[in-house]
Amino acid sequence: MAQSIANIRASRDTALAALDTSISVLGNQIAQTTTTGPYLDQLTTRYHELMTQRNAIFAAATDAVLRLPSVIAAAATLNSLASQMKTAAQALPAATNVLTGSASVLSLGHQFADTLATARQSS
Amino acid sequence: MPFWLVGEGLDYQRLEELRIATQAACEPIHIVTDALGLVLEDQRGIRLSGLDEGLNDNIQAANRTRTSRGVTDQSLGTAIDNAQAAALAFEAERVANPRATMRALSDTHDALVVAVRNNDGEFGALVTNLQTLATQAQALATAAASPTKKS
Repeated sequence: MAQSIANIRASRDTALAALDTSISVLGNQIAQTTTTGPYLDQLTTRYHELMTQRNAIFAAATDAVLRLPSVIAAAATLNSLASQMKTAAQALPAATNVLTGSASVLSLGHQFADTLATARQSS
Repeated sequence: MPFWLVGEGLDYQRLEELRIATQAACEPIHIVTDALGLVLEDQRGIRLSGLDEGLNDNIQAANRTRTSRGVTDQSLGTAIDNAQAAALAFEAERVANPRATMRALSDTHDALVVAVRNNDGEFGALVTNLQTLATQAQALATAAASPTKKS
């Protein structure tokens, strides 16, 4: 079955639900522990491991959605439309703000590409 | 050709450009906003992980200060203030809803398509709304990409 954005979101949320319960229990335990020692160290190590796993699930979901052919094609289409609108606005002698404004909105595909590049760098 | 006819021709041409482009953008806008919503949710989740760790550290520090011998009002007050600041930072991030922002952007674009088709003069305002929403989405992305500090 082809992956879709909805599938990726559902898989991510299912994986997170199980993990979040454990993280919450451990976090509460750590917060209430007032003496340092091996027990607290164990709790803290486990907590950080689960947090790392949690972040890995988010990163995997982002990677999966960015690789979807439908998403890549949609971003490219928006970029192309934005260029066309810009050209049309320049060609018309008294181009309205509406036309130029629409071009800037359609450049969401370009903004999207920047956002994805930033997300990749930070993950 | 009378002057007013040239003007009418240009207006029609503008409206046609707008109608074609906004209609063609419908499907890709839906896909891109849905995908971007998921990416921003992921970034928010990673930030919340960091803030959660900071919150736990601060609550634990306050509890340890509270039970330690020779605790002063000042040290306990500082520890509680730190924990409260960490909780506020966590809550501020938790209530952000990037998916709703992206959905609003998609819905506003749909409304723009209808307004342009009906030529009811509403599309100027809708384009402004779209630009505002696109700016908000960009701001969310920028915030999500900034490093999370444990407070």
